[in-house]
Amino acid sequence: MIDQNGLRRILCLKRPARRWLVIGYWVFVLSFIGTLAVVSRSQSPNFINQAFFWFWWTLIIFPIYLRIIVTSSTRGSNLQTLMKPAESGHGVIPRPLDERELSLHYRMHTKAYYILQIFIPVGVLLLTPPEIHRSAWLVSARIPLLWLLSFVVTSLPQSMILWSEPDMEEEQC
Amino acid sequence: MISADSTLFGHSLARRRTRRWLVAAFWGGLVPLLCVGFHELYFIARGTFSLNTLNFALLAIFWITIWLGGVRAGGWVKPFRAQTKVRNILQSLFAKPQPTQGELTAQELAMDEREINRRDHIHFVAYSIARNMTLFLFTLYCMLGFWKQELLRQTGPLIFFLLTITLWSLPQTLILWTEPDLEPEAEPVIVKEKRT
Repeated sequence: MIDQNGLRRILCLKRPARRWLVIGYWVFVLSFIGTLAVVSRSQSPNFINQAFFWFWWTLIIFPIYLRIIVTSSTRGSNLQTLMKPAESGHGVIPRPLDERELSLHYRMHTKAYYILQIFIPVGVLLLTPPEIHRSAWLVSARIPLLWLLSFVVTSLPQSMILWSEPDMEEEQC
Repeated sequence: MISADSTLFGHSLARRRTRRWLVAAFWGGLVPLLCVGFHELYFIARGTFSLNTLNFALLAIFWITIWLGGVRAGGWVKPFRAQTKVRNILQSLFAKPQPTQGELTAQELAMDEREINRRDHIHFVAYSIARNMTLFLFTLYCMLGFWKQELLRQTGPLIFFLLTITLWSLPQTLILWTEPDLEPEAEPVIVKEKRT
């Protein structure tokens, strides 16, 4: 599941290193959203929307950080995968996923989906409580929360694969 | 993945055509109807997320999921996470896990390896669809906010209701749509020994 040509040469993709990568990623994402929210709140009330609006591209760039490590077919046509299993046709890895990797790839998406089924409704309830239209703080927290949900949706399976995949054998390093 | 004995108005769900009609009716009829109901309740509450609206949303989402299956409570699709053994300490202290229709049925509902692989693949596809849909709806939500704040207040909860109901029913509907026709199980042949 791990890109064997890229980061392997640098880190050999030991599990602790990969876990630190995942932790670092989420700390960075949370810091980024938090900083943007705090900085925006010190500006005019509408600036929070504008600041997030101008940084929309980070929603694409940050998840790619994980995708170049994990051989995920997320960049392909998702409907096509219904007919054709995930392949490595995007130039990210030189060989197709074997049966075990493909099985793990799908299994992690299943687990991520279960998490999403809980996480999204809870986030939605936070976004639309009864008094949301009266509280200025909740209104200003709406966009950062949406951003966090978006990052979770785009990066969760990759993070789970990186977190759980066992160490590669020494010969492969 | 699908219980071969399931029927709907006398039509067996073993046939893919019946299942596809069912899925079409679900997404073309029931889901829009639920969205309208939710929106009406939301307007009756004068644009606030009242207890009635929340109650309607929860009931709609959970009942629809049970109806379609994929959960232990029943439904047309086999439970995704069939649990036949006691794993929770508290559960074993206070109660036994209650299978759907007895222990034997719960064991029968457990998926084999092929079905687990199929389930995982379907969830992968569902995740891909749900991810794109989530990002699209979030973008729509933000755009509405930029355009007109009042519009956001009116349509925001509806967008999230649609998203939640999609998340909870997408894998089941994909299975119902894609699973091929089920062959009737062969009746066990009872061989009577001739007494000589």
